[in-house]
Amino acid sequence: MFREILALLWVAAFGFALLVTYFLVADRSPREALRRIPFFDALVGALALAMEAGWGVHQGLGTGRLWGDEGAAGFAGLTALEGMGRMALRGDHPPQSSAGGGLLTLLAFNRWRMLYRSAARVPDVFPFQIPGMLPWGYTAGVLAFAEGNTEQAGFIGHYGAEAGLLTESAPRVLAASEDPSTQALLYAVADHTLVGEEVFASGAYLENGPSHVASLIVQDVFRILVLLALLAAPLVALLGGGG
Amino acid sequence: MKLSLSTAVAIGVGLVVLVAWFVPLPLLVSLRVLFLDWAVLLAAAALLLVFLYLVLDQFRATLRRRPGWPYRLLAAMTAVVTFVVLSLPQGEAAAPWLLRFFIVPASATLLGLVAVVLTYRMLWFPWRRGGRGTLFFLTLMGVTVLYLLYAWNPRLPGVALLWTWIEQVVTRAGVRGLLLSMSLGILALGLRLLGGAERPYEGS
Repeated sequence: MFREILALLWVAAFGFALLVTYFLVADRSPREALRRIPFFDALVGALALAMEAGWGVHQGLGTGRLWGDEGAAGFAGLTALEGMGRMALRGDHPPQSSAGGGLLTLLAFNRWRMLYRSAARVPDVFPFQIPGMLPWGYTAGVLAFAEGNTEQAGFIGHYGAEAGLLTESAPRVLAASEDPSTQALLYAVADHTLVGEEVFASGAYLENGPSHVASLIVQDVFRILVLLALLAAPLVALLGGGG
Repeated sequence: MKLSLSTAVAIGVGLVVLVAWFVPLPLLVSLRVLFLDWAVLLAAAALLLVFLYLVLDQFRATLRRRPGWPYRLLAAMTAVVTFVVLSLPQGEAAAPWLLRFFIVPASATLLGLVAVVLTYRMLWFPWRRGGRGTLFFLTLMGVTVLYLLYAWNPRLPGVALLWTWIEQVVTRAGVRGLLLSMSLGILALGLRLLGGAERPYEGS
């Protein structure tokens, strides 16, 4: 029970720090606090080309479930989709997007519906497809519909080994997953990828909201705390005579 | 920040599930189980909806003779037949058969293609990533050769020691570092959802 209470206190402290930081950064322009990540530069650059020159851009969310680690990556993909969609609806060529999981797909549909509503526009067809419902089916579907009409594809969500094939769906591919093995694979095959917790930074870079930026700051502070605890633990054990 | 009914429900349910996870009081735990059961039902309903949409979309594309319509028709018909067969009273018996003769061979074929893609993309890696890429590529080749030596003869002097050190110290330290930072990212995302700062269910 002691461990559970300790974990709850850890979560509560994280939440409190998040709240305090949110109010501290809410009135400032937080973009300067962010370091450059080439992945997001390329994502926004391609979107600008899509809006200006009609470039074919595809944004994939994968087929992950919406709980556990997979869910976190799915939500990060949804945040990226919202950020890109909001920018793209200022022009005439929104990026094509796709998802395959049940809840993830419904939420992505919902995002597009809300984006169009907030832009006061009515689409002929939502720029959204369901290429398949399982990872390999989704991959085959994306390869089929992206062939020849997509200059850049971006994938943020839960992906496994199939991500290797997804990099063949466009001449330029940006891809990110929360799975460490997939991150290693993508580092080798994708043009740009995100490493570690960068996957969850999409909101801060594409939406630039204070809650997203506050998250990044608090994560950095807590990472240092964890690091100090990791360094202190063996020292304490050593000085205390082990045990 | 405007608080709608759906946001209030999401925050309330989320808080109960989170607290019950850490403080297992009987009332909280039974509420947690109830909410999670509802979530599973909703997730299944969502999956069914998406399946129906997918099949109807493929049939629609076939009727409009969109590019690749024969494949779309085949995919839709296969999906319908599979769904009907598995829904029959004795249909579950067909599941291992479908898995063995359709899904596993198709997945294995695509996995084979991944191996080819990985190989040639890896060979291009130094050119795509410049100097740092070359260093990474050479390091990777060195580790691969070391592993091949280890697999060939684990008794070669120094090889087992070096390989074990790379596998158990360097790799594990790297993966743990990644997991640690990602867990903080997931925690932040979860708290943003729980606090209603992100509302994918209503389109913030």
